[in-house]
Amino acid sequence: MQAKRLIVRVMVVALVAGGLFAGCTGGATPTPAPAPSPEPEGKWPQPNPMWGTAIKPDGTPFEFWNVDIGPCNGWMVTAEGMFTSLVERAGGTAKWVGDLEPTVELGSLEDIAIRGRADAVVLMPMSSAVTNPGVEKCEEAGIPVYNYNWIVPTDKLTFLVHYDERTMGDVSAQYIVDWAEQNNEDIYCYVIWGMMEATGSQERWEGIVRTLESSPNFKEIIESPDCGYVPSNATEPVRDALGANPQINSIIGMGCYANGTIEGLRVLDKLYPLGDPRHIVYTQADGGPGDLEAWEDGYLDGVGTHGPWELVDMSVKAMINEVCLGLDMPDESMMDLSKCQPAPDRDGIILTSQWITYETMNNPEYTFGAPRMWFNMFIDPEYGEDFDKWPILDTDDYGIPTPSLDLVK
Amino acid sequence: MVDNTTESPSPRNRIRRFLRWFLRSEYFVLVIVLLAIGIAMSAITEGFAFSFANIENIFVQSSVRGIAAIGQFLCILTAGIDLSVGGTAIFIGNIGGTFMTEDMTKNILGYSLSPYLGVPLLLIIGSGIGAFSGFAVSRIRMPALIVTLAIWQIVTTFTFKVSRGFQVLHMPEALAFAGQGELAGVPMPIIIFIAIVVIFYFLMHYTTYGRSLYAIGGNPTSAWLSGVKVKLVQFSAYLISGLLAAASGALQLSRIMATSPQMVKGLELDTIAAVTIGGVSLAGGRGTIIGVFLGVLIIGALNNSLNLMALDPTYNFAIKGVIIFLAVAVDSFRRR
Repeated sequence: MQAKRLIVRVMVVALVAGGLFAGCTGGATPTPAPAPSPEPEGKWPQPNPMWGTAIKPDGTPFEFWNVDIGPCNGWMVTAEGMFTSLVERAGGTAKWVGDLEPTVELGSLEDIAIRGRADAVVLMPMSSAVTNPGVEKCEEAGIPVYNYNWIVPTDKLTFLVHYDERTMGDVSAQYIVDWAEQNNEDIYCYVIWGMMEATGSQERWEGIVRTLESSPNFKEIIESPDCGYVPSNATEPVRDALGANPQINSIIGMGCYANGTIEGLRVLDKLYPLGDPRHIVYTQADGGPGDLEAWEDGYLDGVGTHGPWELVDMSVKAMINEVCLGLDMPDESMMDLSKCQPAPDRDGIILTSQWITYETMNNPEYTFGAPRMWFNMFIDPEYGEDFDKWPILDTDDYGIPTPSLDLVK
Repeated sequence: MVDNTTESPSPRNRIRRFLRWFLRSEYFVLVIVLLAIGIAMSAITEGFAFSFANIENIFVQSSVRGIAAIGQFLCILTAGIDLSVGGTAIFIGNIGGTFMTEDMTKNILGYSLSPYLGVPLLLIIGSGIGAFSGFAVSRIRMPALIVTLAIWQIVTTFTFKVSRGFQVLHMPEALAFAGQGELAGVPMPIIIFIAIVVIFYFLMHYTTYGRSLYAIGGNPTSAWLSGVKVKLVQFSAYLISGLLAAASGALQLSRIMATSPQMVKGLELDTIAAVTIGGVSLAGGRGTIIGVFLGVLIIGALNNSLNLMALDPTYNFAIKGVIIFLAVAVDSFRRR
């Protein structure tokens, strides 16, 4: 009984103290702390042309928010790390909220819109439809939204950059079509699904199916259950499917499933590397750091490019160029879109997926000028997981220059 | 001679009585937690957390969760549980979208059903799903956890079959009012949520039906011996839960004016958390609508706080878990 009274009294005192504290520290909005000047030494690769571009005339930093699905895999970790690094390289303040649940993402956008302090938002939505009203509220509140990867349907969006995901399915399936025709093989393909409810997954599926079915060697597609883009979820489906259907001679993973797929094949004693006549052709519509070992060992034939780095790089640079420097950024892609079928019905920077193998993955043609493909940067001791050491990409061909104060002089 | 007149209590005595009641009531801890979150956030956000706009925002965001939580409350009160709440809400939202969309490539009826017909139809379908669960629990005596888990999986499959994984847009304008409209300056989701809370408050506190729910949760045998129609009341709890899950799915559809197979993902756990924080015993027989209402607001305030603070999202689950644990632990300790 005495303990209960004590708890009650402590809580009341804490509440009153909290109220006084809030009263003393609340009230008028204080001036944000100024950005450090000059640029912190040794933090980023030099020269850093971006420094100062996200600092307002009064010395305070622009505040940019990243709303995404949270650090659920290497792809997202890279996206988040590069967002923060690029914003800070420009002298801005980077804020980040993320959750796999779309309603929480929607809530984040609504909270940002109501608060009205953000200068802009970079968004990677889990569910485009659910986050759509949040994006509209931000835009109506004067907070521009820079959307990458999965597209939000509203016309009020300020900027969009994404991969045409059908082309990811196309390139991963085309390799199998070419292999079948070269080797006079029939195509019995097992497709490992990503999150079925994601629009991107549905589009990858479309690309896979239309390309495979276009081949005269096509026989059958067998689908996996929803593996949610979690590698370990692929093991049992692969084992069961290939065990029950021994005719399967090719596999396409919608995501970075190599670890799980390899294990499933190993259990069935069907794991043979490239060059072995018993090799089961394995491609992916997307690649990640977890696939490197399988790739190096020759079990993974190749992937379609779909990097977070270039998407975030373009979004952040476009955001700083527009919001901070007042420059106009392109509303539409400046690249050849003939591979995109159907043609894109949205304005935005549309990227088409490229086919890469273990030998070609670090070709600058595919890496936007970076020394390595994004998932290969982690194993390079010069870069590793320190995103501040990663270079700024070359996206001039897309109409998005690296932000620099020289651009407005 | 007995003097039957009573002196009316002084204002000071009235305040004392109220404070004594409040400090002993089950709402005390919940209000303290809510205020503590608000005050802490107000300090961190320079007063923004207590602004009218932010509080209104919390209420709007809590409305979908809150409506479903009331249905969950009824089931838990009868010593059951409803894990199909989220699946039902998502299914209703998706099937409603495919009935009402003006995009004929996605409309499964071949014409855009009017929301004035569509929404009642969705509520009937949701009630039907709940009734199925209720029948299995009350008549066949199957464990509620298993029944509703199975229902969740079945409706989730139907969601994918109906939506084929695609989002559906182009809803009729009339649908937007419930989720995006205002009445006398108050957002409609708040009005709908509060109205449902008020209705169920009266139902639980002023009707025999409400008392029956408590009686069944406390001791179903005693309730039966007392003349309560236990099976019928249990059945009705799940039916109402299905109805309210459908209402929350329809409200979310109206809010976002699109469907998505992930529209209210995680709703079942959110409702269970809200109900538990609100002081409802998972063993049944104890809890109040007001407690559930406060529990819903606490979850809404927590989500809002984490957004405004923009902490590393990897800490979000842990922070929510700690606060939920503390709220329930302190309340449990007080009740001893």
